[in-house]
Amino acid sequence: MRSAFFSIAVIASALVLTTSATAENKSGQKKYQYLQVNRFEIQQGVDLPPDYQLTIDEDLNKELAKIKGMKQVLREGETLPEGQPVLLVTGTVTRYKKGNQAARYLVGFGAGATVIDAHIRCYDATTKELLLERDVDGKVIMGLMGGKSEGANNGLAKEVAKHVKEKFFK
Amino acid sequence: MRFRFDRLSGSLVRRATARFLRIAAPFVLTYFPHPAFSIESAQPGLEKLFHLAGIPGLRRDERVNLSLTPDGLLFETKKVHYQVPYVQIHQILVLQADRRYEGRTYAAAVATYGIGSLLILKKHHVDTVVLDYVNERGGKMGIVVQMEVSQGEHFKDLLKGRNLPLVEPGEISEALPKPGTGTDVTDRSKP
Repeated sequence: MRSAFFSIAVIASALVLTTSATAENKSGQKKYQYLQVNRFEIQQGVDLPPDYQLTIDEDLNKELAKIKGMKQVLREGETLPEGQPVLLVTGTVTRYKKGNQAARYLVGFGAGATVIDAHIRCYDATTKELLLERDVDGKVIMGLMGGKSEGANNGLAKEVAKHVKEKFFK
Repeated sequence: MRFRFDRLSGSLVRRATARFLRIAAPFVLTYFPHPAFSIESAQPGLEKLFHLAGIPGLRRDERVNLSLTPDGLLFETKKVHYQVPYVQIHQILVLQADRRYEGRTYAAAVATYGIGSLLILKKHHVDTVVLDYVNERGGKMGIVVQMEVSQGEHFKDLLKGRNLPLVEPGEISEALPKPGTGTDVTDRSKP
């Protein structure tokens, strides 16, 4: 009886190890450990400050690097690792509302909110197959003394990281 | 006629005066331009800049010192030393921006029973420096810091002295596209 339990446990653990060692997960997708983030583009007519564009990129790299199972987050322009599937994340900022910290603090009720909307796409870097497409946003509605407007960048980055994690790293 | 203050101790007049001074002081100190009287003392060189993004190991709004070494721009705190070699810098953009000091507003609000929170309306003019560079593998990187306007002017002079690619807001290159110059969403986001 005891040896039967032991052999079942051995077989089960072997199965688990075999499954995780393959390059594809349960839904048949490649298991990505490398990710490349391109700087977000700005849609025509959207007046996003240049420092915000760069801050989104930096925040995005920071947030994506926190995902468990991620080996490396590559920057735009870096050489891709050979023989490894790489997930490419691109995005376009479609709306930017500057907001007003004083209005957020003194008025409240959603007044003076800073909003950044973006449309993201995730591709397989080698095959260019589109794997994920989402609308995301970053908002600052409240916070300490109304909350800093730059917090919208971080909110956007966190939401992108959440979608990527749910789709490819669970 | 002698005027003695101790006669007024505890009187309504003295309490009202004290309250008025408590309310007025933060406003006067904030708006008064002379450095000897203002809350913000002038920072020599490029010290105590506000870090917004890009320096590994530093949080947003953490203070950082910047110096120009023979090899590159060196960002320093007690814990972090991060250098960007001049050869890797693609462009440096200096923008005019505004900043609000929440900590100061909070202190004023506490000291003045909430009235000082109106200080949030006060904008502090700063220069935002956007440093666009590449890492050793050719990947696009960036650092964003904010500094006092006087420090911004000093920084521009230093950059010109070293022939670094200082870009005015109207001449932003492709690496950092000028807002509103993008094309259709579908075309731009394809790899």
